[in-house]
Amino acid sequence: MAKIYIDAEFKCHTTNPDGTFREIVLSENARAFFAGKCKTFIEGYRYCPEDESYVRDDGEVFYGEQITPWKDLEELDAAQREYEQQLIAEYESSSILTADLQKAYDEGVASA
Amino acid sequence: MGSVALEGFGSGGAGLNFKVVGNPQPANPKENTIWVETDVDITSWIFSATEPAAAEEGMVWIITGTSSQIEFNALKKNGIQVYPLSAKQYVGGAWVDKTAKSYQGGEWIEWIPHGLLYRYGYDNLTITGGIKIVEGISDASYSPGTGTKNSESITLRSSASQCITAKTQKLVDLTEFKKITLNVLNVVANNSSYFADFGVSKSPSDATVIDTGNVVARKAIGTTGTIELDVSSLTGGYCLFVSARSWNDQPTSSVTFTEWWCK
Repeated sequence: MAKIYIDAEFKCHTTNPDGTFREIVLSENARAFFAGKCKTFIEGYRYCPEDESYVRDDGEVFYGEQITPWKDLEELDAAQREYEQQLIAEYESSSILTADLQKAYDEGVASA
Repeated sequence: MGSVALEGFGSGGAGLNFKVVGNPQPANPKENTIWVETDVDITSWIFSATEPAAAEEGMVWIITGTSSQIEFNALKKNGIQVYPLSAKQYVGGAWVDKTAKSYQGGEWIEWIPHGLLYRYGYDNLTITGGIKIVEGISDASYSPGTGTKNSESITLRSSASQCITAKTQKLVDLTEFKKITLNVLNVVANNSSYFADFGVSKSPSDATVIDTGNVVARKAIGTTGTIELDVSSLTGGYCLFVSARSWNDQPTSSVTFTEWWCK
């Protein structure tokens, strides 16, 4: 699984271009939660590690370990579905390519 | 149809079929007397589903919904059916939750706090549809742990390779709520190989398991006391759950909770 970073508001990031985000070690349960998720989905979430806390805009304090979306979930789900469709398309394309290669090999063997 | 707020002041009025009063508890109440348990003078009251645009010190805001166990007709003639859910009062520049009771049918009926899922043995069926104990995940390597509805709490316990979950049987609309709180009496978990958590799932209301793949928000339960999950960005209906699970060859995980709220 790709690395996940969190910013000062505990929002997740999958890259750290300025080096300002904190790389975190996810718990087993958090790793399982984010496994297979696309970049857009991950970055729509907040991850608060155990023994840490964050303050929401209205002043409410929330403690870890907590995994919760900060973006609209429908938007995140739509991005995840698109990502999965893309993976399926790539797999099918790869399967066709593999089948073509196999066919070419078999024909080559047969003509030898 | 938009909501129409009822506004007024004083403790009664011609044409009205109810009163709103503060402490002390009225000795000889009339039908539909609403007793808000407050020592702060009630300067006015308003029935509204949404926060009043203009609040004044002492104002009581009775939050209304589309159903209530203490609904009543607000007028002596004709009818405006009102569905109170909970009460707040504007005190010191902020809205403060207040408990309230209605006098109906010769007895005081306590208002069920809006957003209450479970409290000390009371399962708020209106919002939960009944809290059901189910096996936690659809994984053949797990078997069900044990879930017990005690007289004033619910206990979930899972030994090695077990999982057990308490879930709502209705989808709870989280749109108006910003957090889910759980009052934990006891927990045994390490948030790793044997753990307890509570959260929000996309599983359908009649699901017999909570598939971990459907979980959209979760909070690990590691301590006793009140613990909270931020759900401020979630809108729409979801299945809510509390769960205990233990992996293969791991110690027993368990959690006992006494209250479960959406706030």
